[in-house]
Amino acid sequence: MAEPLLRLEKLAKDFGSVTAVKPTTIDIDKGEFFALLGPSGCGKTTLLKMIGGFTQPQSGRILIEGEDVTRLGPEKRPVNTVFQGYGLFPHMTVPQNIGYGLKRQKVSGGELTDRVQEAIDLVRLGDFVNRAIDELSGGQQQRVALARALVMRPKILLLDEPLSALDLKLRQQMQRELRRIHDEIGGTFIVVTHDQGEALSLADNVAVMRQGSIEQIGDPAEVYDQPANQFVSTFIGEANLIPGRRENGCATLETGYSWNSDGEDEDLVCMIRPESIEFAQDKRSEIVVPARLVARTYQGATALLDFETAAGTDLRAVENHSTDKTRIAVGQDIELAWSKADMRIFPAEKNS
Amino acid sequence: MTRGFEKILPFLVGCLVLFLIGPFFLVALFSFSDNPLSTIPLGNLSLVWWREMIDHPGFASALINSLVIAISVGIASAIIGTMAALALAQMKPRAATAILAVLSLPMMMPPLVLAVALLSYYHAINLPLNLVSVIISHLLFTLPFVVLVTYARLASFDFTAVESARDLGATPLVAFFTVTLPMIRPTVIGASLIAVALSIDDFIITFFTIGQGNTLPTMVWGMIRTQLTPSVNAIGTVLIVFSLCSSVIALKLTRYRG
Amino acid sequence: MRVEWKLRLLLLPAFGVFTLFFIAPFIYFFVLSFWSVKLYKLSPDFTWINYAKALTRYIPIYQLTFSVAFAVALTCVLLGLLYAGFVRFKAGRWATVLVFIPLLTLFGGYLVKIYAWKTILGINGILNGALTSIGLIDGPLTALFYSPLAVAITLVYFLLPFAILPIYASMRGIEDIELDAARDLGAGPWHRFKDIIVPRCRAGIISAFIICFLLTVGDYVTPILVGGKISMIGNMITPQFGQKFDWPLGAAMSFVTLAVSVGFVAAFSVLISLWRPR
Repeated sequence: MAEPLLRLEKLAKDFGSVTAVKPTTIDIDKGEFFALLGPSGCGKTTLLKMIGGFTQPQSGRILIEGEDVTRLGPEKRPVNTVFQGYGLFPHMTVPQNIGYGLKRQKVSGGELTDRVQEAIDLVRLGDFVNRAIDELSGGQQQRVALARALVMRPKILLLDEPLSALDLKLRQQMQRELRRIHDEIGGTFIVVTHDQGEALSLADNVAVMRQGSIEQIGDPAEVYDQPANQFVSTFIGEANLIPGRRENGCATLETGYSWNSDGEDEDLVCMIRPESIEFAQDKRSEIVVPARLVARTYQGATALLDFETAAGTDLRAVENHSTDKTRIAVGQDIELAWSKADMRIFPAEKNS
Repeated sequence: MTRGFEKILPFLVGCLVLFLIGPFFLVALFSFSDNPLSTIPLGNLSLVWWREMIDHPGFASALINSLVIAISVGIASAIIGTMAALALAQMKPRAATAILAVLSLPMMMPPLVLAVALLSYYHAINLPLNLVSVIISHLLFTLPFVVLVTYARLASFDFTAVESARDLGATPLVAFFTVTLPMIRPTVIGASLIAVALSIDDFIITFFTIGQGNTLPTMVWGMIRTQLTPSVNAIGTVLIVFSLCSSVIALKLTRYRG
Repeated sequence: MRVEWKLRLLLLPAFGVFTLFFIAPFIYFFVLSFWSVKLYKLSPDFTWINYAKALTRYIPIYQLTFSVAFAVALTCVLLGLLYAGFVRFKAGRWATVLVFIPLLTLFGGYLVKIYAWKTILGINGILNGALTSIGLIDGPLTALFYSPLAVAITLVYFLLPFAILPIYASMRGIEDIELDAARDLGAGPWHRFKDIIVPRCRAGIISAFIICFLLTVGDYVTPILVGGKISMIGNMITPQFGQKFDWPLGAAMSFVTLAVSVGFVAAFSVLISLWRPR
């Protein structure tokens, strides 16, 4: 197998008594768009800063194309960062901002202008190049920050919460832009985000982090469809959790379904996605649970239906207005159904 | 080279800290030593210079003059300065900044030039040189401080509270005394304490505008120039303690950081 | 924005003090610089003689004064950058204490501060005492004391807080990620300092320089206490208002000093404004 572009080897960091990142090993290939996803304080930014060279790890190694860069400062690494909040230089013009790193590399004259112009074209800054930094909108500043990093032709581009300061519309537009730029230059991007939607739509591979360690790495479909544990299942997408218990090789859900299951006696949790729940009036599936509709939230093409089972479990399902022609009324008792294959069983976690 | 510089940077800053505060400690130290030359070796612990300071014939009147001037300056600049800051806070920031810059001009003047200009002007308008002329002169360089600090506080002040008071039937004056003033009081007191510190410490302008009489600094000046007794260290310590105390309290109250 | 005209009245006392006791004195003082003194009495006149005297008689003194002022102001700005930069970017939890020290020493002890240096640098001062007692020198060194260097050291000591604070204030406007970004783009410490920090705290540097320069130019106490035979222009102005009784000449000298100072300060400001990252 070919050598990965970036290899993190048992990389770990703590701040005093607080562990920020537990020993972590990741390989990232050339051309990958990789997302580090997790709630705030999970260590994803610390991990990114260690790759960028702004934070020194306690232990472990960082290898880029097989070369150990762990002890190199950020100014000497072949990676560049788009910072959260951008960190543009307000006392310089847009082209000066973009050309700053090249000048540090002693690039000058025609090559400098050409490469700056190339970067401006790449991020489609257009006519805004002549504005002062503080006259630019958030989205435009974002583009300058991108151009400033990309002009360096980094082996890896690091993006720290790149879109968090933008409003929803702009965020979606910039997501497409990031993807386009990534594909156009064939670069390797690592993005840190707490927004699972952003990670799923941007990245080829996602690492889900919690409390300093990586819970799962996989492509978006994998982490969504086959979450590794209860945390991942709830952090990515929406999930119904049904408490259950395994005793003497037999697992039972609170809602009243049992099956044979080997393993120690313990509390379990069953995860089922809202869109996997069907309304038994229409079809027949393996698992059937009677429930009463308690609320309906209209969302346009779909509606979110909140049910309560006889056992007191809250379940959410999705009503698709183009296929589900019958409307269930609030207060109506119906039967919910799903197939066992859509269900994921995890050991129950206490605090999540 | 730069890497080495980064290494010695904390050491350099440590030296600067010593440079900034060392002389203060020396003065205080010498005031408690019986060495008449204010030099090393320190000599024995002694209050002789403090005794001499208190026995000095001019000390009591200089202390009283200093206090009268400083307190008057503190009160006057608090009132005038707060009024001005209130007006500025209602203006467009650009206009307010411009006015602040103009009002700060006396702080920028070399004190000597300000002092001799005031001296000749007082002479021309027949204003007698006494404590009043000193107080007026001090106002020139204390007011900008008070206005600046109070204006900075009012910039983050929520004027809707005042509007609510007006809505509930308070006249502007009542609203000021019941809502605005209680909320900005710490800043105003802090700012006027800075004025007090500046006033107590002033030498040059006082020297030229006081006519007869002494304040503590002008008395110290006389002593340094003539007899050179270590009781200067004692008075110096008094002056330092005065201004240190008022600055510490002022900084705590105003949260002013430059 | 709604501005009640009554609110503007609140500015009246401040403006009153400012106009009556700052503008008016300076206008009078300026007029005075064209008067003459006859038989120990001021006499209204229009003569350039005071300016002629002020400009021709004291050239070496002006040279010394402005050299000292320039050296002191420049030193204060450099040390201020060092101190403020350390406090802002490196000090971590020590920052609060370190920024408090110049704030505390800012407001107090003008005379005492100068006097303290007399006890340190003087003939019988601590420095000489210490050097003699460890046997480095035989008799007291006089080179340190009663020299322009002693004047400059004392003034730097007195003025350093005035330089640190405005520089520190403008450094607080620089965000950490700006420096991280520069570093990420390959800038070493020197480039980060010259391309980011200096241009971004231009305003602070300029006001630090102005304050230090003007206060040095007008100072006459320091030369008397630690300068020995050294005289600065202040030492030439004060006697005109004392035993020499030539107020018009004193006024003319003051305005010449002010004018040259403004020139210096303006030149420095322009130079700093031209400082561009390359």
